[in-house]
Amino acid sequence: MSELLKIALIGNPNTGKTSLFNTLTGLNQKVGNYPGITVDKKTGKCKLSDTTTAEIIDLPGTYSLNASSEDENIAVKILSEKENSNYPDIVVVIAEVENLKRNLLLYTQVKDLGLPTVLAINMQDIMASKGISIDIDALEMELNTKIVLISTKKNIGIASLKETLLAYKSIPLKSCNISSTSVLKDTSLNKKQKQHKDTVKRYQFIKEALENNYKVEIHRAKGFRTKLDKVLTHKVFGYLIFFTILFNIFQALFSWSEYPMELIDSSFAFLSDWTKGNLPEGGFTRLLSEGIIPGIGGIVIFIPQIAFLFLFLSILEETGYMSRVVFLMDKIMRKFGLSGKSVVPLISGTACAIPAIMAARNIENWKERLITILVTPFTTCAARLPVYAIIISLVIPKGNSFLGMNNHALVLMSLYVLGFAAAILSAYILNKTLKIKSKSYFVIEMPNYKMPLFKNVFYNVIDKTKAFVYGAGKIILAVSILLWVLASYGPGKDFNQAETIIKAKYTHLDSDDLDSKIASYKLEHSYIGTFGKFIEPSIKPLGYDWKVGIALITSFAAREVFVGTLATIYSVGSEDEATLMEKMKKEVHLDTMKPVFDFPTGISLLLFYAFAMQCMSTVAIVKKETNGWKWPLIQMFGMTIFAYIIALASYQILH
Amino acid sequence: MTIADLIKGDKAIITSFIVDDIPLKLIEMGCIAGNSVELVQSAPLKDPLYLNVNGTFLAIRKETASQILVEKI
Amino acid sequence: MELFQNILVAVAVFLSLRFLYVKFFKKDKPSDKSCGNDGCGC
Repeated sequence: MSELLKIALIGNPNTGKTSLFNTLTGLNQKVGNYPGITVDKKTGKCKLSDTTTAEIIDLPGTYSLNASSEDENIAVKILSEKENSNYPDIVVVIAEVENLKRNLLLYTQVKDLGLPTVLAINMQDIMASKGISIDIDALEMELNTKIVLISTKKNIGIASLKETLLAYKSIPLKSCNISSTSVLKDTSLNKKQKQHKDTVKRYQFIKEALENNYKVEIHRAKGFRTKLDKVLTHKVFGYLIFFTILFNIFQALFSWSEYPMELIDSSFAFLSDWTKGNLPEGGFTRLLSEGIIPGIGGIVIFIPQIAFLFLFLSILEETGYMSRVVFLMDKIMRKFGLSGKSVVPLISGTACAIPAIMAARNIENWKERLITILVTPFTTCAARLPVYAIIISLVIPKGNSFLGMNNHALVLMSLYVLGFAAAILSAYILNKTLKIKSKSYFVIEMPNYKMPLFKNVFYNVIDKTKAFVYGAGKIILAVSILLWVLASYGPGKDFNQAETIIKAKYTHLDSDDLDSKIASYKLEHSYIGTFGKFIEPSIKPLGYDWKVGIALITSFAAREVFVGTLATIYSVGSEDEATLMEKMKKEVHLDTMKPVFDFPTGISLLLFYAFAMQCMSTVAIVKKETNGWKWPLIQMFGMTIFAYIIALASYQILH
Repeated sequence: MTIADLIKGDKAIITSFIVDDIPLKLIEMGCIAGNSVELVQSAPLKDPLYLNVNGTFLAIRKETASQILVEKI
Repeated sequence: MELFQNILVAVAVFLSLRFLYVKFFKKDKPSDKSCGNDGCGC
């Protein structure tokens, strides 16, 4: 007979709560969603004994239960609504030895809710070096509960914690003696004042409770941390160090992802060909080999880049360095309507905007958060790279010019810089034009430096990668399927009799070439092709023809689809890039006989892709994070119109 | 004198707040009357301020810091 | 066989459309909106 205990885990940020959750649940974790709000629901299973399994719900890290954000709201909800299916049997409040005073605020609030509450004090391993001593027994009396000293880093106390959890029925339920009811009954105070007063009373209680039971030898406590802070937040070196680290991260990102990406690319191309050749002929086989497999391939190929970027960001976060970066960058960012905390979303955006926008959740100020969400898609995400790569190879002359740097690399770097510049500039404009009142309020904890626990880093990377694969992936796949249908079927006789028409016209070609020509003809007369021709007049001033128009439309599934679509349009049998480039070079405008992909068109295309909002997945996440259609639509139209104008101007000027 | 007037290394006790609506989060982190505060470092442009409040290391903007009255010790 | 294949295509299209519809047009449950600690700017 197996019993399932429900345990809620709560605690301040930086207490090792995530470590504890990971230690207890291992890979048996799930991330879900609370309906209607943008808070992740993390649950996991843990075996406490042979007969008892626990389902642990990891509540968002929070400093108190005074609900002022979605995170705190959901925590209060789960811990107080007895009928809610998530209502736990036990609550574990995790604290840590250095910040015990502050951690206990949350503890006293949770204890007041009447659930069996266990206090787990983490980081036992550093007590000696910091000169900290705690009288557990006495403290247990003061706080009216069971306390377990643990170290998630050294795996100490976990067994003891499990034992305590199993014996939860013997934990006293009486709340701590903090005269809070008098505060609640005071009608002269408004809600905020009550919370303020209540907090003060709790801190008084904590002070008394810790008076004789918690000792710190102060001169032992500092030292390393102060020295490191001096360097890392130095007015010159601080920034130098940060930008050097950033530069190295990007370099590593590029070189590390190259091989895995090539591997994935060829694997999927092989899979696609194999499917086409080995499954019975028909619509679905074609959908599979031309729509679904390339669609999934287009998602999987970015996993290396995304995983690596979040690996680096995660390590920086785990060591505590990220807080120092936010500290350094806040004043500068504020000039542009952003927050120091916008740094992480902006950097993450160079992999994918989806996890980047989600990372903006920790920005307290709504206006700063909104602006961050709106401008992050300007940063050059991974999906733009295949488009940039092929256009640059086509129209940028080879060689080294400026400072002996490779031309192609130079243009690529410029596009990255352009992305950031556009983000910052539009943030500035939005800041001046958006009339949103919000107080400039900013608090960030500066945690102690520590060695990153690779377990945590690993789980975090998995988390973020999943956000991309499921968040963006599903949408990309769905849109790919639909686009394939629109590109494979068409109205009218022209489409349906494609084979006959082409065969009659090109009697001398072999079957491979014939197939390519047929495919190209079909695409031209498909629904998408018809639409491409329809929009041609509006994109001609940008230097594009209807074929490019088709590719622009399909890019709405995912930007990199641009390349695959061009391959089909120019009847390149398989996605042989060299052949594709040959064909593109030879393409001419029928009326002028001048090449389609000349320098002006190339630049125009690069700029269009740099600024246009083509990613449906991003639209979806912005809608979710801003709770409505208003902002994602403004963003989509604003960015795309801006891209149009810039592309138009650049083509007309260069032409 | 407010927190914004402290120089690096200064230690003080929080006495009161100029405005009524200091962010609750700050209070929850221990920024209440009677608790100690020390300026650990100010950012290169003197904003934000890196403080040690009642044992908690945190950073707040100068704007907020100038709303918190302290007494130097 | 051709018919079977076309049915599969139709199913795939239907599922995709339904997924996108739900993703974009389903009304989220009314919830406490997150506006940070400084008043609602949503």
